[in-house]
Amino acid sequence: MALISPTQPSHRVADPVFDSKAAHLTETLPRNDAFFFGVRVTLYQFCQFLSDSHFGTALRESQYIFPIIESIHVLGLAASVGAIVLLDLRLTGLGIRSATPGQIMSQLKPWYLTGFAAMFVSGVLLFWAEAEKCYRSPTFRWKLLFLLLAGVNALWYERKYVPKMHAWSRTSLLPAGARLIGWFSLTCWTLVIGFGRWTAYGLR
Amino acid sequence: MNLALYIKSFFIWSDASALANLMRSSTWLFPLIEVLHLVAITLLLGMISVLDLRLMGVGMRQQSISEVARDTFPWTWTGIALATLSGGCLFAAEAMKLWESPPFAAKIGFFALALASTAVFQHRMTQADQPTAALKWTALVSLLLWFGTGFAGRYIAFY
Repeated sequence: MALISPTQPSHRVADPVFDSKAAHLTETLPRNDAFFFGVRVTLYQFCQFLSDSHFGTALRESQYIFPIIESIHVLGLAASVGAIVLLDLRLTGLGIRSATPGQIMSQLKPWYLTGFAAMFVSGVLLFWAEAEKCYRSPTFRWKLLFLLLAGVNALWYERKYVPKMHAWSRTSLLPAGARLIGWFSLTCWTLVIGFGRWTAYGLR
Repeated sequence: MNLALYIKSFFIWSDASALANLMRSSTWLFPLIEVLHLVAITLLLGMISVLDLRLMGVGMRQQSISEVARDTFPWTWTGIALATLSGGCLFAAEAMKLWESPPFAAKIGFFALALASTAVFQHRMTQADQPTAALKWTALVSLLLWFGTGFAGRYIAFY
């Protein structure tokens, strides 16, 4: 590749995102290298390895399995994010007045767990098939960022408000922090869905 | 007269409309509205699942059926409205392609039945205190119809 400077060691495989944006910084910036069993592998090489693997290729080129996994991933949103939205609507005060946040969370706990598990497994399989393209997709990185933020937000709620929430009644005014968590969660999940859908458009 | 001809002329008219041209002329509009469509579907199917599974005795059991129904229906209808508006825009942009798509025909069929079941049984659900056997079956059918709509919709892209 023309973008790789002659000074760069030849075992480094071209990294399109990195090379197009920071070719002039190649010598000064640390790369996201890792060692697996003593062999230096970049994240990009690992993604290439995944999508070039027999399993990844079979998945990507299958006539029915890939669409079915993708359908599970998309329609699984209803169970996973749908259940989260129910709690968020309650936290923000927008709706679901007849249940307290504690009641919603304890009753929908199996949904959160199975929904997340289904989304995670189907998502990993989709990534496996398209890992090299996902690495080069900017929208996929945004999706992961907001997924991480949504996760941190949920952990924050778990630590700060779950111990207190069973004392909240149907009519009690929720703390501003809890309401903010609801809004932040709604925003993050909307963006995760948006960037996820957009990723599917942009893969090439 | 031939009904299919009337329907096809609607598809042709949609495909040539100003909205369709706007949708096709912009790089960002179509994906953006598709995202809105998916967010609306998440809201809609999420609320439908909570209510229908409650009717079948799963999930929000500390609340009565009428409470869950009254809490979820405003959001269900918000989801339906957003999904229909965004879906109309998406439809216009590729109406002639969709005219030849069996999954799209299936989606519209499922959607019409699902919408009818939701609209017809809304009143009964917001008044219900005990789940009758009939309501349980209605819930199962509604769940299958709404997810059938979603699956057929996703299948348009694969056909």
